[in-house]
Amino acid sequence: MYEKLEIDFAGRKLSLETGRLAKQAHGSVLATYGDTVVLATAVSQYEARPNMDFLPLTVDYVEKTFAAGKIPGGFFKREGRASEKEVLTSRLIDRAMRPLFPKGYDRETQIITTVLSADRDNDSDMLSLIAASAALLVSDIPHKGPVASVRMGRVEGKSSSIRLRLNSKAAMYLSSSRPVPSRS
Amino acid sequence: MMLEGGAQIVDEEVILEALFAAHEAMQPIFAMQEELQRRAGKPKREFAVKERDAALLKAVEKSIGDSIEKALATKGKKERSAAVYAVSDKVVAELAEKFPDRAKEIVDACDYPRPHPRTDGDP
Repeated sequence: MYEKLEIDFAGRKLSLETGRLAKQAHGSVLATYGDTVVLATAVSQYEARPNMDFLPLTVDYVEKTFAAGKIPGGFFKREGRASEKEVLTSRLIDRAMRPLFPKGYDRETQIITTVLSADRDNDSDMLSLIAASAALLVSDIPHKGPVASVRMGRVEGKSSSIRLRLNSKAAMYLSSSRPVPSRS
Repeated sequence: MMLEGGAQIVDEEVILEALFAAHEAMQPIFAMQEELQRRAGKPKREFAVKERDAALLKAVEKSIGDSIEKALATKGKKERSAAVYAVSDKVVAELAEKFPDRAKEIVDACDYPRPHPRTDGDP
């Protein structure tokens, strides 16, 4: 069943759709913000492995070079191990999702978010967390979601004008506008 | 709700304001996700939680008595862990006859996590 929802978020379109890609996953959501696209999938085993006394949860955030329209060539023909950004974003999603699984749930579960397109303007990390949450929510996996995330910034040094973007450009703008600590 | 964090450039009030602003800004994203679930969500699966053996729990509780409190009051992290492990080892030894081959369950019932090798592949 194909569904697509769209809202206006901080001046750009944020959309969530399900039912078109990764239909074999228990839950999958394609999230788009600006021209950044992330596919999140969630799968979970129906039976626990014997003697399982914790939740075997794997969360991966994957950035492939094709998201930027490039294919590795030359000496590095393959994409190596996960970058620091990938590891840190995986953890960010993991730490947000893990406590919301019901107590005693011990089926092996995997949440994989793949950046399908990166537009160099809207960072894919916050979008990935939203997509991962939505994928779990539409799946049959028990989870006490939803979870959402936003990147906050302070614009023009006034706290009243705190504005919100998923946008990395806004964050850059912020870092240039923050007061410089005095050297005296 | 309790939050912990650190900031060097802006005041606590600014951070607090940012938190509330962020929470407010998230609301449409929550609403959107819930709407998507209403339209396309699958019914959540049922799952059985493993029940702990009540008889075993009771026996462990009786065997521990107040020794765990003393062990937990030990000074020093390593010393404390060693003291608590000693208590659970003692309990395991005491209950070995009544509950054979269930050492792991007995240790779990003591509710003091013991380190074991990671197998969950967390990055």
